[in-house]
Amino acid sequence: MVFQSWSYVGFLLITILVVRLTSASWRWLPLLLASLFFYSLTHWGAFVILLFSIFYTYFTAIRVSGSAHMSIRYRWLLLSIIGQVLILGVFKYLGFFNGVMQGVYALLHKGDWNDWPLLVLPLGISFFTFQSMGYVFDVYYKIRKPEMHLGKYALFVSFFPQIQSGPIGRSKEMMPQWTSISLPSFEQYRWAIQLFVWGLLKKFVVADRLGNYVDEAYDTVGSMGTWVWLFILVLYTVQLYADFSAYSDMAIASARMLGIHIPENFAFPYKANNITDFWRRWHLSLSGWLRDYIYTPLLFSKKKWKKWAVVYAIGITFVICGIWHGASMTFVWFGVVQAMILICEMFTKDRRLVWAEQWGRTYQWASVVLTFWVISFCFILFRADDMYQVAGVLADMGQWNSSLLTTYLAEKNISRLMGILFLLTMFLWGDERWDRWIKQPQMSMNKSVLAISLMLTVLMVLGVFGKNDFIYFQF
Amino acid sequence: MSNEELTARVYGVFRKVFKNEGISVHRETTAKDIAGWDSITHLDIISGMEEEFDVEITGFEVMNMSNVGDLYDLLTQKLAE
Repeated sequence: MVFQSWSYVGFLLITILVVRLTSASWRWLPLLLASLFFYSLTHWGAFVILLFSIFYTYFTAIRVSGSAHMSIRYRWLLLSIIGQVLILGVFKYLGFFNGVMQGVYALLHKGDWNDWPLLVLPLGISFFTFQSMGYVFDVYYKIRKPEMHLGKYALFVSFFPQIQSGPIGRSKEMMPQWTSISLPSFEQYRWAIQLFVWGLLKKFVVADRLGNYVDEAYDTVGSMGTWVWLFILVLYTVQLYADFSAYSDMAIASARMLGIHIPENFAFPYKANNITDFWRRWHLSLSGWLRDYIYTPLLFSKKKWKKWAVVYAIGITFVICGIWHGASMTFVWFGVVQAMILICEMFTKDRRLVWAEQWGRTYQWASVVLTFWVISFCFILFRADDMYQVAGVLADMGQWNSSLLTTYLAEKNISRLMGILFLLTMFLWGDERWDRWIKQPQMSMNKSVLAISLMLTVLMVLGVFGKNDFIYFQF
Repeated sequence: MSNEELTARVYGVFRKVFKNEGISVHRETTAKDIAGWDSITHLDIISGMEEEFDVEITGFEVMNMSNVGDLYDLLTQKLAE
């Protein structure tokens, strides 16, 4: 059941109604039942895996906290994490493993590798396994005590606005909310509806519209040349952000209608002035998770290496970040490239600070533009199906032939492309302004009705309907 | 070691790491409150504390710190051992 469907709206309304009719200390129960029902609709096998993951991390976290000896605590932590990684490995990465083994067998001239059969890929598996792993880490680091109430823990892992594509919740932020869930006020419902409609608008008017051009380009690699590809790279960079931030906004809005606060997942990433800054603004729930549970422990485990400890920690963290996104070499390379850029930035930090002081606002603007282009190029790895397609895009990009641009403009209708350019400019220029305006808590009733009506009108006139999934569902 | 001396020496490490004589640090200060306090700076602060007080701070202990007050408490505990 996707957010942008009438069935979801109906399901959400019924859940809100039942939550309203329940007393504050018992509201976790209808939320849990709704969440389990919501996830059970994806696939029965996936549902069983979710239940197993809940029970497994619930019990191992209790064992982690149950011992005073650090070595025993550590062993239970390891067992818990290995179990979760195995679940991810078996259900998400078996295809990738088959591909690697086929390559190895071909290299060693050992005949054909017999593929291991692929199993069901549970929707949101990367999200709910990371969420539950984060909880076990929190118990291990004594950031929180284990949750003894199985129902409330199950709700933490399966909460339906988050389970498909995050934001990845943190136990210290989410779990205390289950104890007593306050009903939203009329203004808060209005705020949440505004945010939900804003998400719909970003999805249907921006992401899916741009997506049509991007999909077509990646389906016909080889005939577009440099200029068209530069245009497509920008389109995909904006599409990905609009798509994922739309999903996050709708998740935050759905949760808020149920009285639950989920933190923001983006902080205007295309205003970043370097890639380090970009990762402090992009997919905050994942980058925060990686920082706290992978990067920092790795960094401090080798702190005597000084700067090389940072190189080591960044390298491993971003390879994991890449692989988390998908079972493909393109994502591995995406992680490796990010790590390389971040390491370069670390070694040039002092020099860049001097430049920033010397050149002031010019340097700041140039850095933002450069960062945008760097990330746009990196996203080729994110969008392409495999490394052959990446090579194809790069080769096609090497054709500095302006006639290819002229052909493209003629084919696509120049006035439509101007419209797309206008949409892009409005979105990139106004991103922060629109977002802050939509999310202001004290908007008057008249302004709010006007904003919702305006957004619905734009949605009806300019929306592209038909695509169903969000890009991040594949992860 | 008195509380005043501990505070002065902790303050000294912060001044040295941030190269800022006028830096203001108190128990509730977190990384979000000081511009430029990133993970590399965090590493420098912890290494600086280890050198200054001749103690070892483990990764586990670092993960448990949420503000400068936690760092003070950890150092007090380690120096008392």
